[in-house]
Amino acid sequence: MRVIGLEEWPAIVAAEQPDILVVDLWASWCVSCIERFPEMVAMAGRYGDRGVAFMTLNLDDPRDQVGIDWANEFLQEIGADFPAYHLAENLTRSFEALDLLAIPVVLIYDGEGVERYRLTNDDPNDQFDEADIEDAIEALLAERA
Amino acid sequence: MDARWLKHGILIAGLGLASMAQAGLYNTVLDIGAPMPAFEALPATDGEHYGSDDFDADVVVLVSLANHCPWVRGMDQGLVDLVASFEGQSVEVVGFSVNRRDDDRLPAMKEHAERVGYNFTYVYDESQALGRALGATRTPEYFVFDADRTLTYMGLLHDSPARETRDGEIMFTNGDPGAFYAQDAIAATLAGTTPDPAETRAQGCSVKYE
Repeated sequence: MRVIGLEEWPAIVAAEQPDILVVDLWASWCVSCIERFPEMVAMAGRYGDRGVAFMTLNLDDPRDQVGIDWANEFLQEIGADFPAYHLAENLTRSFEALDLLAIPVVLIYDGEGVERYRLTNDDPNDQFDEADIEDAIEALLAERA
Repeated sequence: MDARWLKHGILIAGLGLASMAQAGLYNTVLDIGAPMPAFEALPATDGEHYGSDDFDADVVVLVSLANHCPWVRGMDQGLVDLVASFEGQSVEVVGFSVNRRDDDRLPAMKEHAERVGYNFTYVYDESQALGRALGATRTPEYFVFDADRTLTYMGLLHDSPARETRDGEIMFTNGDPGAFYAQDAIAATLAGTTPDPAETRAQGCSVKYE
Protein backbone atom coordinates (compact mmCIF):
# COMPACT_ATOMS: atom_id res chain seq x y z
CA MET A 1 0.00 0.00 0.00
CA ARG A 2 1.20 3.49 -0.75
CA VAL A 3 1.28 5.56 2.43
CA ILE A 4 -0.51 8.91 2.25
CA GLY A 5 -1.79 11.67 4.50
CA LEU A 6 -5.25 13.20 4.54
CA GLU A 7 -4.06 16.25 2.61
CA GLU A 8 -3.06 14.08 -0.36
CA TRP A 9 -6.46 12.47 -0.80
CA PRO A 10 -8.15 15.12 -2.99
CA ALA A 11 -5.27 15.05 -5.47
CA ILE A 12 -5.41 11.26 -5.63
CA VAL A 13 -9.10 11.39 -6.45
CA ALA A 14 -8.54 14.11 -9.03
CA ALA A 15 -5.81 12.08 -10.73
CA GLU A 16 -8.36 9.40 -11.69
CA GLN A 17 -10.50 11.77 -13.74
CA PRO A 18 -12.22 11.38 -16.11
CA ASP A 19 -12.84 7.84 -14.89
CA ILE A 20 -15.58 7.04 -12.43
CA LEU A 21 -13.79 6.15 -9.21
CA VAL A 22 -14.88 3.54 -6.67
CA VAL A 23 -13.06 3.70 -3.32
CA ASP A 24 -13.30 0.95 -0.74
CA LEU A 25 -12.49 2.09 2.80
CA TRP A 26 -11.29 -0.74 5.00
CA ALA A 27 -8.87 -1.89 7.71
CA SER A 28 -7.30 -5.15 8.82
CA TRP A 29 -9.43 -5.10 11.99
CA CYS A 30 -12.69 -4.75 10.04
CA VAL A 31 -14.03 -8.25 9.60
CA SER A 32 -16.97 -7.09 7.50
CA CYS A 33 -14.58 -5.27 5.18
CA ILE A 34 -12.41 -8.34 4.73
CA GLU A 35 -15.34 -10.64 4.11
CA ARG A 36 -16.72 -8.49 1.32
CA PHE A 37 -13.36 -7.76 -0.30
CA PRO A 38 -13.42 -10.64 -2.84
CA GLU A 39 -16.55 -9.23 -4.41
CA MET A 40 -14.89 -5.84 -4.76
CA VAL A 41 -11.97 -7.47 -6.58
CA ALA A 42 -14.39 -9.28 -8.89
CA MET A 43 -16.28 -6.07 -9.53
CA ALA A 44 -13.08 -4.27 -10.45
CA GLY A 45 -12.48 -6.96 -13.03
CA ARG A 46 -15.94 -6.57 -14.50
CA TYR A 47 -15.74 -2.79 -14.83
CA GLY A 48 -12.05 -2.38 -15.59
CA ASP A 49 -12.54 -1.69 -19.27
CA ARG A 50 -15.58 0.57 -18.88
CA GLY A 51 -13.93 3.71 -17.56
CA VAL A 52 -14.36 2.79 -13.91
CA ALA A 53 -11.32 2.86 -11.64
CA PHE A 54 -11.15 1.06 -8.30
CA MET A 55 -8.91 1.75 -5.34
CA THR A 56 -8.71 0.92 -1.68
CA LEU A 57 -8.06 3.25 1.22
CA ASN A 58 -6.83 1.40 4.29
CA LEU A 59 -7.36 3.04 7.70
CA ASP A 60 -5.13 0.90 9.89
CA ASP A 61 -3.39 2.72 12.73
CA PRO A 62 0.06 3.77 11.46
CA ARG A 63 1.56 2.43 14.72
CA ASP A 64 0.11 -1.04 14.10
CA GLN A 65 2.79 -2.54 11.88
CA VAL A 66 1.43 -6.06 12.40
CA GLY A 67 -1.95 -4.97 11.04
CA ILE A 68 -0.40 -3.08 8.12
CA ASP A 69 1.77 -6.06 7.20
CA TRP A 70 -1.28 -8.30 7.36
CA ALA A 71 -3.21 -5.89 5.12
CA ASN A 72 -0.43 -5.84 2.52
CA GLU A 73 -0.25 -9.62 2.45
CA PHE A 74 -4.02 -9.89 2.23
CA LEU A 75 -4.15 -7.58 -0.80
CA GLN A 76 -1.53 -9.68 -2.54
CA GLU A 77 -3.20 -12.98 -1.71
CA ILE A 78 -6.61 -11.83 -2.88
CA GLY A 79 -5.27 -10.47 -6.14
CA ALA A 80 -6.28 -6.85 -5.64
CA ASP A 81 -4.33 -5.34 -8.51
CA PHE A 82 -5.86 -1.86 -8.29
CA PRO A 83 -4.21 1.04 -6.45
CA ALA A 84 -4.07 0.59 -2.68
CA TYR A 85 -3.43 3.40 -0.24
CA HIS A 86 -2.80 3.43 3.48
CA LEU A 87 -4.03 6.56 5.22
CA ALA A 88 -1.35 7.02 7.86
CA GLU A 89 -3.38 9.15 10.23
CA ASN A 90 -4.84 8.93 13.69
CA LEU A 91 -8.12 7.04 13.28
CA THR A 92 -10.22 9.47 15.30
CA ARG A 93 -8.98 12.29 13.09
CA SER A 94 -9.54 10.28 9.91
CA PHE A 95 -13.11 9.43 10.85
CA GLU A 96 -13.85 13.05 11.66
CA ALA A 97 -12.21 14.37 8.50
CA LEU A 98 -13.91 11.81 6.25
CA ASP A 99 -17.16 12.08 8.27
CA LEU A 100 -17.31 8.35 8.90
CA LEU A 101 -19.18 6.48 11.59
CA ALA A 102 -17.92 3.02 10.70
CA ILE A 103 -16.42 0.98 7.90
CA PRO A 104 -16.86 -0.66 5.42
CA VAL A 105 -17.74 2.37 3.35
CA VAL A 106 -17.67 2.74 -0.43
CA LEU A 107 -17.26 6.18 -1.97
CA ILE A 108 -18.07 6.65 -5.64
CA TYR A 109 -16.85 9.73 -7.52
CA ASP A 110 -18.01 10.82 -10.93
CA GLY A 111 -15.67 11.74 -13.75
CA GLU A 112 -15.29 15.26 -12.40
CA GLY A 113 -14.08 14.09 -9.02
CA VAL A 114 -17.33 14.84 -7.22
CA GLU A 115 -18.40 12.32 -4.58
CA ARG A 116 -21.80 11.19 -5.83
CA TYR A 117 -22.45 8.13 -3.71
CA ARG A 118 -21.51 7.32 -0.14
CA LEU A 119 -22.52 3.76 0.69
CA THR A 120 -22.45 3.07 4.41
CA ASN A 121 -24.11 0.90 7.01
CA ASP A 122 -24.82 3.91 9.22
CA ASP A 123 -28.56 3.29 9.10
CA PRO A 124 -29.63 -0.09 10.53
CA ASN A 125 -32.57 -0.06 8.16
CA ASP A 126 -30.60 0.83 5.04
CA GLN A 127 -27.53 -1.38 4.69
CA PHE A 128 -25.66 -1.45 1.41
CA ASP A 129 -24.58 -4.48 -0.54
CA GLU A 130 -22.71 -5.19 -3.75
CA ALA A 131 -25.84 -4.63 -5.85
CA ASP A 132 -26.05 -1.07 -4.52
CA ILE A 133 -22.48 -0.44 -5.62
CA GLU A 134 -23.19 -1.77 -9.10
CA ASP A 135 -26.41 0.24 -9.32
CA ALA A 136 -24.50 3.41 -8.47
CA ILE A 137 -21.81 2.68 -11.03
CA GLU A 138 -24.36 1.89 -13.70
CA ALA A 139 -26.22 5.11 -12.95
CA LEU A 140 -23.06 7.14 -13.44
CA LEU A 141 -22.20 5.22 -16.62
CA ALA A 142 -25.70 5.90 -17.92
CA GLU A 143 -25.18 9.62 -17.39
CA ARG A 144 -22.22 9.44 -19.73
CA ALA A 145 -24.02 7.53 -22.45
CA MET B 1 -5.73 21.06 7.64
CA ASP B 2 -4.89 21.50 3.99
CA ALA B 3 -7.10 24.02 2.19
CA ARG B 4 -7.83 21.61 -0.65
CA TRP B 5 -9.08 19.06 1.82
CA LEU B 6 -11.32 21.58 3.49
CA LYS B 7 -12.73 22.57 0.12
CA HIS B 8 -13.34 18.95 -0.72
CA GLY B 9 -15.12 18.32 2.57
CA ILE B 10 -17.32 21.37 2.19
CA LEU B 11 -18.21 20.34 -1.32
CA ILE B 12 -19.37 16.96 -0.13
CA ALA B 13 -21.39 18.43 2.71
CA GLY B 14 -22.90 21.06 0.47
CA LEU B 15 -24.15 18.52 -1.98
CA GLY B 16 -25.76 16.53 0.81
CA LEU B 17 -24.46 13.32 -0.63
CA ALA B 18 -24.59 11.21 2.48
CA SER B 19 -27.85 9.37 1.95
CA MET B 20 -28.66 8.68 5.59
CA ALA B 21 -31.32 10.51 7.48
CA GLN B 22 -30.00 12.12 10.64
CA ALA B 23 -31.46 12.03 14.12
CA GLY B 24 -28.56 12.54 16.51
CA LEU B 25 -25.20 13.93 15.50
CA TYR B 26 -23.87 10.42 14.96
CA ASN B 27 -27.03 8.33 14.97
CA THR B 28 -29.60 7.97 12.19
CA VAL B 29 -32.41 6.76 14.45
CA LEU B 30 -32.23 8.24 17.95
CA ASP B 31 -31.60 11.71 19.29
CA ILE B 32 -30.97 12.77 22.85
CA GLY B 33 -34.28 12.86 24.71
CA ALA B 34 -35.68 9.81 22.95
CA PRO B 35 -37.38 7.11 25.03
CA MET B 36 -35.62 3.82 25.66
CA PRO B 37 -36.87 1.15 23.25
CA ALA B 38 -38.80 -1.60 24.94
CA PHE B 39 -37.60 -5.18 24.64
CA GLU B 40 -38.90 -8.46 25.97
CA ALA B 41 -37.55 -11.83 27.02
CA LEU B 42 -34.08 -11.59 25.54
CA PRO B 43 -31.87 -14.54 26.51
CA ALA B 44 -28.83 -13.68 28.57
CA THR B 45 -25.50 -15.28 29.31
CA ASP B 46 -26.68 -16.08 32.85
CA GLY B 47 -29.40 -18.38 31.50
CA GLU B 48 -32.23 -15.97 32.30
CA HIS B 49 -34.40 -13.85 30.02
CA TYR B 50 -34.72 -10.10 30.41
CA GLY B 51 -37.06 -7.38 29.22
CA SER B 52 -36.76 -3.65 29.57
CA ASP B 53 -39.24 -3.69 32.46
CA ASP B 54 -36.90 -5.88 34.50
CA PHE B 55 -34.56 -2.96 35.10
CA ASP B 56 -35.67 -0.43 37.68
CA ALA B 57 -32.50 1.48 38.51
CA ASP B 58 -32.33 5.26 38.28
CA VAL B 59 -29.94 4.90 35.35
CA VAL B 60 -29.93 2.14 32.75
CA VAL B 61 -27.03 1.86 30.33
CA LEU B 62 -27.38 -0.20 27.16
CA VAL B 63 -24.10 -1.14 25.48
CA SER B 64 -23.83 -2.53 21.97
CA LEU B 65 -21.26 -5.35 21.98
CA ALA B 66 -19.89 -8.08 19.73
CA ASN B 67 -17.45 -10.76 20.85
CA HIS B 68 -15.58 -10.87 17.56
CA CYS B 69 -14.91 -7.14 17.47
CA PRO B 70 -11.33 -6.06 18.28
CA TRP B 71 -12.64 -2.73 19.57
CA VAL B 72 -14.96 -4.49 22.01
CA ARG B 73 -12.12 -6.69 23.22
CA GLY B 74 -9.86 -3.67 23.45
CA MET B 75 -12.31 -1.87 25.71
CA ASP B 76 -13.74 -4.82 27.65
CA GLN B 77 -11.70 -4.00 30.73
CA GLY B 78 -12.81 -0.40 30.58
CA LEU B 79 -16.43 -1.53 30.52
CA VAL B 80 -15.94 -3.90 33.46
CA ASP B 81 -14.21 -1.10 35.38
CA LEU B 82 -17.03 1.29 34.54
CA VAL B 83 -19.64 -1.10 35.91
CA ALA B 84 -17.58 -1.70 39.05
CA SER B 85 -17.20 2.02 39.64
CA PHE B 86 -20.97 2.36 40.11
CA GLU B 87 -21.38 -0.61 42.43
CA GLY B 88 -23.86 0.21 45.17
CA GLN B 89 -25.43 3.00 43.13
CA SER B 90 -28.70 2.83 41.24
CA VAL B 91 -27.15 1.99 37.87
CA GLU B 92 -27.81 -1.09 35.76
CA VAL B 93 -25.72 -1.91 32.71
CA VAL B 94 -27.05 -4.20 30.00
CA GLY B 95 -24.80 -5.34 27.21
CA PHE B 96 -26.47 -6.59 24.07
CA SER B 97 -25.40 -8.34 20.89
CA VAL B 98 -27.45 -8.46 17.70
CA ASN B 99 -24.98 -9.83 15.15
CA ARG B 100 -25.88 -13.20 13.64
CA ARG B 101 -22.31 -14.39 13.27
CA ASP B 102 -21.69 -17.62 15.17
CA ASP B 103 -18.92 -15.95 17.14
CA ASP B 104 -21.34 -13.25 18.31
CA ARG B 105 -24.24 -15.51 19.27
CA LEU B 106 -25.24 -16.62 22.77
CA PRO B 107 -22.94 -19.63 23.18
CA ALA B 108 -19.92 -17.53 22.24
CA MET B 109 -21.24 -14.68 24.38
CA LYS B 110 -21.31 -16.95 27.41
CA GLU B 111 -17.71 -17.98 26.86
CA HIS B 112 -16.62 -14.41 26.27
CA ALA B 113 -18.45 -13.03 29.30
CA GLU B 114 -16.93 -15.67 31.55
CA ARG B 115 -13.43 -15.24 30.17
CA VAL B 116 -13.47 -11.46 30.45
CA GLY B 117 -15.38 -11.35 33.72
CA TYR B 118 -18.39 -9.38 32.55
CA ASN B 119 -20.09 -8.00 35.66
CA PHE B 120 -23.35 -6.97 33.99
CA THR B 121 -26.32 -8.51 32.21
CA TYR B 122 -25.45 -9.52 28.64
CA VAL B 123 -28.37 -10.34 26.32
CA TYR B 124 -28.67 -11.56 22.75
CA ASP B 125 -31.28 -10.24 20.31
CA GLU B 126 -31.65 -12.58 17.35
CA SER B 127 -34.30 -10.29 15.87
CA GLN B 128 -31.87 -7.35 15.89
CA ALA B 129 -34.86 -5.17 16.81
CA LEU B 130 -33.18 -3.60 19.85
CA GLY B 131 -30.16 -2.54 17.82
CA ARG B 132 -32.34 -1.15 15.05
CA ALA B 133 -34.49 0.79 17.52
CA LEU B 134 -31.40 2.30 19.10
CA GLY B 135 -29.70 3.05 15.79
CA ALA B 136 -26.76 1.11 17.18
CA THR B 137 -24.35 0.75 14.30
CA ARG B 138 -21.05 0.25 16.08
CA THR B 139 -19.57 -1.88 18.82
CA PRO B 140 -19.01 -0.79 21.46
CA GLU B 141 -21.56 2.01 21.65
CA TYR B 142 -23.07 3.36 24.88
CA PHE B 143 -26.64 4.54 25.48
CA VAL B 144 -27.44 6.10 28.88
CA PHE B 145 -31.07 6.45 30.03
CA ASP B 146 -32.37 8.29 33.08
CA ALA B 147 -35.07 7.22 35.54
CA ASP B 148 -37.76 8.18 33.05
CA ARG B 149 -35.91 6.09 30.47
CA THR B 150 -35.04 9.11 28.41
CA LEU B 151 -31.77 9.06 26.48
CA THR B 152 -29.19 11.39 28.05
CA TYR B 153 -25.96 10.24 26.38
CA MET B 154 -24.81 8.09 23.48
CA GLY B 155 -21.43 7.30 22.01
CA LEU B 156 -17.96 6.46 23.28
CA LEU B 157 -16.74 4.98 26.54
CA HIS B 158 -13.95 7.56 26.62
CA ASP B 159 -11.84 9.72 24.34
CA SER B 160 -9.22 7.11 23.42
CA PRO B 161 -10.93 4.11 21.85
CA ALA B 162 -8.82 0.98 22.28
CA ARG B 163 -8.49 -2.02 20.00
CA GLU B 164 -6.98 -5.46 20.40
CA THR B 165 -4.34 -5.87 17.70
CA ARG B 166 -3.63 -9.06 15.79
CA ASP B 167 -0.78 -9.84 18.17
CA GLY B 168 -2.99 -9.38 21.22
CA GLU B 169 -1.85 -5.95 22.34
CA ILE B 170 -4.30 -3.27 23.47
CA MET B 171 -3.72 -0.14 21.38
CA PHE B 172 -5.31 3.12 22.49
CA THR B 173 -6.09 5.46 19.60
CA ASN B 174 -5.29 8.68 21.44
CA GLY B 175 -2.98 7.67 24.27
CA ASP B 176 -4.19 7.42 27.83
CA PRO B 177 -7.89 8.29 28.11
CA GLY B 178 -8.48 11.74 29.50
CA ALA B 179 -12.21 12.27 29.12
CA PHE B 180 -14.45 9.50 30.45
CA TYR B 181 -17.61 10.33 28.58
CA ALA B 182 -19.80 7.37 29.60
CA GLN B 183 -18.76 7.48 33.25
CA ASP B 184 -19.32 11.23 33.45
CA ALA B 185 -22.65 10.91 31.65
CA ILE B 186 -23.87 8.25 34.07
CA ALA B 187 -22.79 10.35 37.05
CA ALA B 188 -24.48 13.44 35.62
CA THR B 189 -27.66 11.50 34.91
CA LEU B 190 -27.67 10.11 38.45
CA ALA B 191 -27.30 13.65 39.74
CA GLY B 192 -30.12 14.88 37.55
CA THR B 193 -27.93 17.11 35.43
CA THR B 194 -27.33 17.11 31.68
CA PRO B 195 -24.27 15.24 30.38
CA ASP B 196 -21.82 17.35 28.42
CA PRO B 197 -21.12 16.16 25.81
CA ALA B 198 -24.37 14.32 25.28
CA GLU B 199 -23.15 12.72 22.05
CA THR B 200 -19.79 11.49 20.86
CA ARG B 201 -18.73 9.66 17.71
CA ALA B 202 -18.53 5.99 18.72
CA GLN B 203 -15.52 4.26 17.18
CA GLY B 204 -15.54 0.54 16.61
CA CYS B 205 -16.75 -2.28 14.42
CA SER B 206 -19.87 -1.93 12.34
CA VAL B 207 -22.96 -3.89 13.35
CA LYS B 208 -24.22 -6.18 10.60
CA TYR B 209 -27.99 -5.90 10.13
CA GLU B 210 -29.63 -8.56 8.00
